[in-house]
This record gives sequence, C-alpha cells and structure tokens, in this order.
Amino acid sequence: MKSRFILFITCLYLVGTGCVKDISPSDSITSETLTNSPDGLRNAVTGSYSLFKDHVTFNGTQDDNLMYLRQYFQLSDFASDDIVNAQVTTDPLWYSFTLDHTPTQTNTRYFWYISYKIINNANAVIEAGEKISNPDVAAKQLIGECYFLRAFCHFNLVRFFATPYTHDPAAPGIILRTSLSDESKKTRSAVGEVYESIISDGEKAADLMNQQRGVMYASKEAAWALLSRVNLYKEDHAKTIEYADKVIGSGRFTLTDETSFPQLFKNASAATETIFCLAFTQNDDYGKFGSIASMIFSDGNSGWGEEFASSSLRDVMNPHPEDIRWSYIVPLKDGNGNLVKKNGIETYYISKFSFQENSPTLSSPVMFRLAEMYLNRAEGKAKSGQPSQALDDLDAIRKKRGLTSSLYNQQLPSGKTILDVVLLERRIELAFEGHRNFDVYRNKKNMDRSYWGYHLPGLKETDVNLATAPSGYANLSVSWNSPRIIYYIPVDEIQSNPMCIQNQ
Amino acid sequence: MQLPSPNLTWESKYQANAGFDLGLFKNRISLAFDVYKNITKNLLLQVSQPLSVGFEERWDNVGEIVNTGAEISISTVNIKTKNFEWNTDFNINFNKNKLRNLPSAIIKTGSWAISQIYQNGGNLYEFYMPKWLGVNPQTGAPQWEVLTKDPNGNVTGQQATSDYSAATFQEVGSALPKFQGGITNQWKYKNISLSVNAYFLSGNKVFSNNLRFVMNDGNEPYLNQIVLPKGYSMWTNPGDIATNPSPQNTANSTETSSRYLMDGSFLSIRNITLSYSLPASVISKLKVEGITLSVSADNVHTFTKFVGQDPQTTITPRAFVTPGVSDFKYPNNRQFLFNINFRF
Repeated sequence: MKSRFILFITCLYLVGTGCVKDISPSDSITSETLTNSPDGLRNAVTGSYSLFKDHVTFNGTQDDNLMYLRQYFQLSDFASDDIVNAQVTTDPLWYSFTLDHTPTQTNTRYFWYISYKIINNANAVIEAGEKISNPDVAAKQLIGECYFLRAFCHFNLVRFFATPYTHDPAAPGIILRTSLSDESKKTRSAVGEVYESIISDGEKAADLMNQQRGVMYASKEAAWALLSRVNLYKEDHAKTIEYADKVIGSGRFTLTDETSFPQLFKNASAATETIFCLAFTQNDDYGKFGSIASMIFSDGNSGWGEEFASSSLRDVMNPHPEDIRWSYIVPLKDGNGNLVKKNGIETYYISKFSFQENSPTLSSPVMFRLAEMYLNRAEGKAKSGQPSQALDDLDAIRKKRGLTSSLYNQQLPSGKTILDVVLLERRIELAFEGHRNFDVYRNKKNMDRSYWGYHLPGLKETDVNLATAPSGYANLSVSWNSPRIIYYIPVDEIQSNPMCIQNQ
Repeated sequence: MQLPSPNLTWESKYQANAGFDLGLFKNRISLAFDVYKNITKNLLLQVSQPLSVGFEERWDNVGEIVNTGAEISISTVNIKTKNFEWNTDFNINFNKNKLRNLPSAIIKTGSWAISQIYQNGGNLYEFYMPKWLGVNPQTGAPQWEVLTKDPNGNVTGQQATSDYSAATFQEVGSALPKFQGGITNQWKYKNISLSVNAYFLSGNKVFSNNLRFVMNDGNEPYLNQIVLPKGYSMWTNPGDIATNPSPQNTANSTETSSRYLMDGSFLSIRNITLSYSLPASVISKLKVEGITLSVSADNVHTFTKFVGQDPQTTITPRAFVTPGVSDFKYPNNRQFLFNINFRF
C-alpha cells in the first residue's frame, strides 16, 4: 500500500512538471525585450557592425577564412581585371578568377549567411524601435543605422547574386528580408524591387540619423553616399548627382592630397576623406590566416603572397609614374633589386589593407569615401550630357593625386569618350576597394583578362611568357552578358527554400 | 542566439521486442535472439533553415523513424579438454530504418557543403550530393550526373556533365551500416591464454573528406599528395579510361560529390592479448593470490577497401557533425602493453 502511494506521488510530480515548458533563462533577451534596458539597442547595433569583421561560427566551425569583409573583397576584386592570381588553390577564392563558380563554394555560402544575419539583426532593432513611443535623437540615430545596414547588405547581395539593374531590372534579385515575421520560405524579389527597397531604406536612414558617432558608424552622409552609389548602378543620373552633391556639400569631408593620400588607408578612421569605414582594432588583427591583407600583401611572412596588382591595371597607370596612387602598389624586389616572380607572375603587392598601427595585416576597410562621390557625380554628369562638369570632377581628384600637370581642363582627349575617361579615373582611384568588376559589367563592357595569370585554365609556369600576351586560353575575356559575372545562390538556400530559384 | 521553437515537445519512443535465449549441449552453445521494431515519433531535429533568415538551424519536431532489426549473439565453447579450451563470442545486429510522416523533405547541409536528406521512405543520414561519373575519356575533365525528370519527379533521362553546378543532387547512400557486430575468440592452454577481439560493420557509406585535399588533382600544390591507390589512374591522353582527371582540366573536381564517398565496410582487429598466469607452485611461495603476465596490442589492423584515413566515423548526430564524414583527425594509436597483474 505504502509503495503504491509513493508511486502515485511520483507520477503526480511528473505530470505536474511536464507542463512547465516555458522557463526563460534569466539572461535571455528576446527581440521583444531588446528595448527594455537602456543599452539594449546600442549593444544590438554594435553587434551588427562586428558581424562584418568577426569570424562567425558556420557549420559548427570557426574558420579564419570566413569573414564578411574578406569575402566581400575576394568575390568582387578577384573577379575583376585589377588583381591577378599567381598560385592555384583549393580555396574557393580561386573560383572568382577562373569563374568555375559552384552553389557549394563556402565563401559565398558564408557571405550569404552573414549578410542575412546582419539584416535580421537590423530588423530586430527596427521592430523594437518602432515600439518606442517618443524616440530621442540617440534612439533615432541607432534605428537609422539599422536601416542603413539593411540597405547596404541587401545592395551588396543584389550586386553579387543578381543580374545588374542596367541589364534587366525584372530579373530575379535576392530575397528581401525586411520583417522578422517573414515566412522563412520566400521567393527572390525582382532586381527592381530590391533597388526600391534599398533606396527607401537609405532615405529613411538619412532622415533618422542626426547624430555623429564617428566615421566608424553610419551617418546621414553615409546614407547619402550609399544612395548616390545605388542610383549610379540604377542609372538614375539626377539622383546620383543629387546625393553626391549632398555629401560633398556637407563640408564634413575633404579630399586627401599628395601627402595625406598615402596615409589614408592605414589611418582610415581619422582620415579626412573617409565617410564610413568598418573599424578594426588591434584585437581584430587576424594576421596571416584571417586578415584581408594576407591575401594580397606580405612583408615576407604576413601573407600568402598569391594575389597581386595585375599588369592590366599597371599598364593603364604607367603613363603617370608620378601618380600618388602608385603608393598602394608595392613591387617585391630580391636582394639584387630584381622583381620577384611567383610561378612566373610579377609580384606587385597591394597595401590598401595594411599598416594600421604598423601591422601588415591590419586596416579599417573604407566602405565609402569622398573621392567616390566625385566619381559618381562625374559618371552621372557624363551620362547626362554634361561632359565638361564631369571632367571638372575628375580634375578635382587628379589635382590631389600628383597630377596637377596632367589635368583635363575640360578638354576630352581625342579618341576617348567621356565615359572612357571617367571609368579609367574610377578604376585607378578606387582600385582594390570592391568596385571594378561591378563598374565594368553594369556598363555592359566586357572584362578583358588577356594577361598572364592562373585565371587561365591549365596554365603552367613554363607557359608564361611576359613578352607576349597570352592567346588561345579560355577566360581571356568575359562577356558582360555571361551568366558567370554573378555567383550562384548558395546551396543551403536552394535546398531549404524551394521557392528560391537558382541562377543560370 | 537562436530562433524560437515555441511548439517544441518531447520525442516519444514506442518499442516492441521479441526474443528468446537458448542453451544447447550443456550450454556449450548459448544463443540469444532478439527482433525489434522501434518507432520514434516527434523526432527532434535541428532543421536547416534557409540561410536568408540569418540562422542556420532551428529545433523542430518532425516526422517519425521506424527502426526494425534483429540482434543475435552466440557464445560457444568450441573445444574443451583438460588443458585446452577455445571459446567464441559472436554478436551481430541487423538494422533497417525508414523515415515517415515528414511534412516535406529536409536537407541538412554541413561543412564543405556535404548534405544529407531526410525524406519519407528514405534512410536516416542519406548522403545527398552530385553523383560522380569519373573522367571524360576525351577531355580528361571530371564528370557528374544530370538527371532529367518529368513533372512528377520521375527520372526520364540521365547524362554526364563537366559543369559541376549543373549536376543533379541525389541520394547516394546512407551512413548507417546494414549490419555490425563483434567477435571474440579465446584460446586457453594450461596457464596461457590468447584472446582476439574484432569489430566489423558493413553496408554504410563514408565521405572521405580528406581526399579533397590529398587527392586534389593539382589544385593545391601546397598540400602533400597521396600516391594513387591501387585501381586509381590519372587521365593523360584522349581515350584513357581514368579515375582522376587531367591536372590541366580539373574545374571543380574536388567539390563535394560521390567521388569521395566510399564503402565504409571494415573489419578491425581491436585487441589481441596473450597472458600467462604463474603456476600455483610459484604463487604460494610469494604469499599472493595470483600473478598474471600479459602482453596486449590495441588497434592492431583494420581490413577495409575504404580510401582515406579511417572508415570509423561517428554516426551520432551532434550539432553540426555530419554523421558518416571522415575528416582529418588524430589517428587511433596502436598500443602495445605489457602488464603484470598481482592479486592479493
């Protein structure tokens, strides 16, 4: 009898406790409670910025290779004609050179994942912010930054994974995530709709942000700069010019000159030209295995030394050895002063991501800077029949780059179109900053890669003959309407979201 | 941070067993036989999410697994004389499992884009990836299979492609073995005894992930390359029937596909022990109850056709561990021990 009673009590206990499932850990923060603590919003926003530079665990492992910005620069510039590959590798960064893209390549998979993590973090703050009845300037600023980050990430995704707007605004774009309550399975919005959403977010961001938190955070001017760039890609010339004007006219920034330009990238957060950079500190110095610089620069031991400034870029810069922009292209010489070759390819390192606090692997990557606004405006003017004003903008930059004796003075050189000279200036000024491949293809130009490098399939070192141009290889030129100017949607999305269709 | 799973509930298990134990010939042979059918309902699974929600996985209750199988264990005393004895313990387990009642197929993709699919009527831990079709004899390029399907999903045609991204993801085998078991033999002669313990399993697939590095067709000159195993060859001339592509024509050859998916069957000699108990005449002088000297060897040898470091992998699903993937690991050490065992 007694034992039966104990058994009964035990069962009762099980039944009773079995129902209590909803116990929240004491330190848990849900998106609903985000605004309950004074620091909640700010911490959430700060967390979003660090996702650009953190090696976030993916597939259960933390990989030094995987960092938003590292992928951002490899997926863009390695696919351009500014950077040459001198060493084959199983690292999927190689596919940006060879264009043998796959839906399974880990770098695009991570980039896609982490982009949407930033976007969804932004959504959480935006939705929490909407519940604040009377937000102060500080709260509005933070919410505005989240609109900016959402727009910025959607824009980068649509550039990497969708047909350029100028080719076909009705083409499948990317999955827009603007609400936390979205169905997880969702179709890709058209490129045009994605641009609309980005522009609307950018405008909201510019409205809301009225507090300066330093160039390592988004600001009203950063939102304008983004809007200028987005409208440039959309070929809305009036808006491109309008937003570039706003940034230039804000008076917050000035172009660096011959003396300060070589210091710009090692000192980005204090440079007069920086509109928005992602701040790295010494704690974020990822060294050889995880930094951006280690792909394209080495002091002998700090990098892999496999990707260099291409001969194509150097050829267009050669007429002006006095151009101060050469300061970020560093030839590697041996003890006798001879240029070192790697597998037959001349070693010209790139130092735009080095030397913050004297570390060869540390920099705070500049995402927007004033020179781009002049170049956006110049392209807008060039395309809307105002060539002499476009040339003025180019001269404004050239004056500060050691080319005072080679100004256009409103005279277009013979045999050149105004777009040619604008794009040439843009190429040299913004080299290695993640612009070139987009600039070529959105303008429906082919990518000329007829120079020696391991983007040429099957190349052997003994085949390299720098005295002549390579011929007979695949990949010597990439047509602007090739499906391979963009990447495949990562396999994870396709498999878990059947509504998302794959690129060609 | 994780996605909420507000409706999460317990997994529940329903088991049915039947079996018998049998002793024959004065227990010289004892036999145990069990059959079972286990149904796990509300299977708890970290379900892959579209990455565009900003999370990789979410806990969810999905579907059911039915495991059916049989376990047999036999212990026999093969020979028993005054001075000599030979015993054998043998056990084997056959298992079959089927997934059912899933609302839709779930594909879990892990490191290196190695995927497994959970679908109705399918196996647990079923690898899901492009099927490798070897090397194109004319070009030396790698090839994968493309399936054409009608609107109902029935395969209507198949062909080879050298464009990896065009290849069809398909089921290519499960990481779960069809049977596994162990065998221990022990021989005793007077004070000397020898025992050999072995473990085996068969019928499973193992993804040999290290091969993508050490058999990379020249895609990564920094890494050591293995000498091609017996039966492997590299394409060199048009017309060659080869297993490995031409190093000049390798686009995507090391991407995840059934190329690196191997039959994981093996028989492993886990332990051999030879021991000698000192005779009573010696013991009694030393005032101890017994002294045994023995030498033993662990992880002696694994017999397998698997190409890679080790076919023994985990099939216990943990967060982000894809069952049945063999990757670089610290090797199992082969140990040789000499023991002296005193009993007081």
